Amino acid sequence: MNSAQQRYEALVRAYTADLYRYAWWLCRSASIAEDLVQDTFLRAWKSLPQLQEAGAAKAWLLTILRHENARRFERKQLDYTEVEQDSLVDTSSPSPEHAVATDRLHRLLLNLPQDYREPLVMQLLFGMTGDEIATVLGLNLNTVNTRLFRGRAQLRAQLQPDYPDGVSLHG
Amino acid sequence: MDNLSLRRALYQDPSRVSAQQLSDDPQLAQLQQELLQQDQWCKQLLNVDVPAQLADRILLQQRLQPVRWYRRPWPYASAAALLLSLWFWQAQPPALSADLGQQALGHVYHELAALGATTPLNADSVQPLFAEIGVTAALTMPVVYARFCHFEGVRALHLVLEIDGQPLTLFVLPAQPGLPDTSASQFADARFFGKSVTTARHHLVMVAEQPQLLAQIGPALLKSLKFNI
Repeated sequence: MNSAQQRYEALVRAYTADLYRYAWWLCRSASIAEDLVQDTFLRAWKSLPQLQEAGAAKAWLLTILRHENARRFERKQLDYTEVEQDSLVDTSSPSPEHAVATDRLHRLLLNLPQDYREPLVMQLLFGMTGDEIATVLGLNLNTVNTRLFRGRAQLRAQLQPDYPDGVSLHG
Repeated sequence: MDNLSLRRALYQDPSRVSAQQLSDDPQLAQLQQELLQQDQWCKQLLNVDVPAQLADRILLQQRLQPVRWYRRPWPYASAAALLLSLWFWQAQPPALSADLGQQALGHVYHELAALGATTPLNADSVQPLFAEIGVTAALTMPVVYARFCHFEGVRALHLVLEIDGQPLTLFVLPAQPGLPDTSASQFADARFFGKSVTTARHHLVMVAEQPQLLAQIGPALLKSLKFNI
């Protein structure tokens, strides 16, 4: 096996799961997410020489995936099920209250504007810093921070309407 | 960092604000705990099931992809060179049409021993050979060698005639598309002299070591051949 093939396999093994989850939250469809991840890795294979540093792999793959998603919209806006509940897992519900809150949060996350949801998913799923997210999204750091702020605040405001902490969503 | 900045920092990423920074503000410390809890729930939700063996399927798909030429350049370069060579040779006009004389000389050298033949062939055995290419011959000089050969795929009668004790090679071949139309042309190398004559439907090519032999016998030879087709 040549070194390019080894590098590629390492990338696929390391990032398939998280890329799939990111794609799922991007398009909210299991089948489209799977297609997106496959297309992403195929394109990554064709462009593998462009990846110079292992540390840049995550951002590089995310950038490809977002482009593939954009291409999907260019081709045709496909119909898909809004929410595929079957693919959601809740393995750690300690109480009915928690289950209710989690279910509610799930709906809130799904309905969060994509501009807010996308950086939040990158941060929580990949542990990316604001700078890394800014690079992938092609935004400046302040904009990313603002979107993270608004996303979290919106979730919190809708989750805990009885406990406003006085944060303006326009902050 | 003031209260507002800390609050903003918490909403941007609660895990990056240290508890020490919030030690003077219990409300912010409480907010941090709630946001961390919220993040934890979000992480659980984000952690959707991944289809089984998705990575394996991706790797299989990649391996089934056609190999790009630039990843394995040498086999493709070799194939390209081969195709280029074939195209080059295909594009070249046939050597025959380019130089009938050189073809004739090549045959003479290839059958050089034929020039040493001295035994005349029976006219009955030679006539059928002429007939095969649509020629009736009434040769006045002895034929000491007769065989068919090929000029670039064109069947030709290769004869050696004896004229005043000297051999003269004669090729008779039907005119074909691609062969030269010149009514007459001369050629030579270090040893032989030659002359080709084109009739309506045949080419005659004569080769001898003495040029005067060609001049002497050429017209008579033409008269002795009758081209039927």
